[in-house]
Amino acid sequence: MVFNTCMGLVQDANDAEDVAQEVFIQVYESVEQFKGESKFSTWLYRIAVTKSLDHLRKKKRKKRFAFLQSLFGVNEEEVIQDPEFHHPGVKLENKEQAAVLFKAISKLPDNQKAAFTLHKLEGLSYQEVAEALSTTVSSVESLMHRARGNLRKILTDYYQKNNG
Amino acid sequence: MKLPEHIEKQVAETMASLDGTSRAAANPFLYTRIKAAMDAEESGFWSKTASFMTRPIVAVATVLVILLMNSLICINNQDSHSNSNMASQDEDQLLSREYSVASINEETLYTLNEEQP
Repeated sequence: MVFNTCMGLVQDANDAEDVAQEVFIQVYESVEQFKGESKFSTWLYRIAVTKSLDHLRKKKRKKRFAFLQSLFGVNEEEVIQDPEFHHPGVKLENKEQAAVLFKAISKLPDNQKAAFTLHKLEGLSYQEVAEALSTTVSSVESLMHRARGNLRKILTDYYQKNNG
Repeated sequence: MKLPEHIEKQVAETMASLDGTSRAAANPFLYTRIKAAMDAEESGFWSKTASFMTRPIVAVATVLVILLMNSLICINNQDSHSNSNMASQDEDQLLSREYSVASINEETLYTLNEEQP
């Protein structure tokens, strides 16, 4: 559950393992702060999402810094683009399309990305997603609506470029 | 603008490509890794101290104790300052008594001077 959420958000198996480890250590350290007001799984999801998004932000910052260094010739190494991500749970016939979809998901804003991943990959209901993201059901509905719209736009551009 | 049908179809298929996805299983060694990290976290003196110090209750209590000590020191300083003033006044009186200066005021000095010749 934690690993799958991290995997869906960070889109890399090794990074997902690192983030999952961080999540469990955080849970271990702050389990006293869990007051039982929400489900334990909701609390776990919340930590997993926060840690995964933090990891993505850190990674993006590092990449930007490496790019700047390469521009000024400090870092001679080439900035490597992320390889295509293949989720191990995706059906074989959908592998290629899922890889394209994951690439599009990575371009979404953080909150849309989290809501879409929790709903689609973890199979959580809107109510559960709302609890995990500490928001209301109506804002999750709006996030999902916007996420779908943005994804459609990104995918349309992608297929127009690749088919045209 | 209406999109070509084949692109619309591709987009719809891609959007549905995550349907029926099963959960990704973690590496079997992940549990061992997490357990080792937790043990390391538990045994480290500094990490223990840091986690204790960063507890909200401990942090707030420490700040309150520091503030209390500061205010006590300030109050004590004021008291000792007024006491030292009084002590210095006492010292003056003692000195004047010892050398009998207190009884000698301007008038007596003049009278003494007048008497002398």
